[in-house]
Amino acid sequence: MDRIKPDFLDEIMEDAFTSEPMAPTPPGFTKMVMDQIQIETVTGFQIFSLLDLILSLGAAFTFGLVISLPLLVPEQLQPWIVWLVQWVFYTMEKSLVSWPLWLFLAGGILLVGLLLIVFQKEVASSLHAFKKLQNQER
Amino acid sequence: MCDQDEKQVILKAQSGDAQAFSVLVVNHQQFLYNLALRITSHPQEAQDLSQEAFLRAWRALSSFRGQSSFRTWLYRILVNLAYDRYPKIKREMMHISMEEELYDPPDEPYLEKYLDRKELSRFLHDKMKNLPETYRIVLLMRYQNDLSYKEIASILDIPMGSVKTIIFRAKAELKDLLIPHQEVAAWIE
Repeated sequence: MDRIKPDFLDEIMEDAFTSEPMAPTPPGFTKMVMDQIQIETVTGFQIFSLLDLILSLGAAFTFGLVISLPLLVPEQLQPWIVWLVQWVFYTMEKSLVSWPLWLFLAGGILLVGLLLIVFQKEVASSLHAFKKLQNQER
Repeated sequence: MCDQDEKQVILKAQSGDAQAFSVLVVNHQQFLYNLALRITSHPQEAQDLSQEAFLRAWRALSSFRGQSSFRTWLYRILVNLAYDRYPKIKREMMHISMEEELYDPPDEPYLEKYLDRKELSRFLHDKMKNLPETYRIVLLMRYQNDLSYKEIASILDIPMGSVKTIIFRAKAELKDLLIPHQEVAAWIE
């Protein structure tokens, strides 16, 4: 009877470790990764950054205008502006208890609902893409 | 692909060349996918995990300074992702004690001449599937991707001693199974 030498046993095991078959990568794996990278490269710059830039510029401009308005408006026009602001607030308060506003809101909700039903497929796919982007950011 | 070529490709990818990055994806995808498969034990999850690892690598590519090899960096991204998603794996890795007395099964007399290498390999491959995931992850890195103990320890964020312990235990478990198997094989002969 020949003994199995410990070294030999180790060698057998290491051979087995080295030669254990590896699973093939799923078909189209590279394409899927590269498609995601493509989406990320495009959306990352062309939509989000541009939108951010426009919104920030808009917000900064509005804020600046509000701050500098009292300085820019001639003194004679100030009472008229005060009246205008009061009138806008009055109209807004009045419209809160009026029928047209509620009809407008109900109509708006119905319209959005209808649009969602009509464009169900598109909405679902964009939600899925958004969720995927969020997951990646995590 | 040799190291020098890979460095060139990495530089191109760092400058935003997605085509160059696809070369890196092709080169490393099989191993990364298999590593993910061992962590998740589920093909779909593994695909998702490895794809996300590549995406993170793409995003963080500019921060890669070449202090470690690209594959080590890539595998670390995958392992960090896996630790976040599967805290159980991290716990298991962290709880591998180096102080525990290591049991090495005695070498009993079995017949070398009856050893059929192919059959033995099949038997071992079959039994390796039943090893704990943590062992299988380390074995894959060590023996199929030729990573050093130091690299494995750095990727898995565990002490180097734990890597050695895992490999030792994996071998000891297989030895425990192999010896009776050979005994039976010898008896049948």
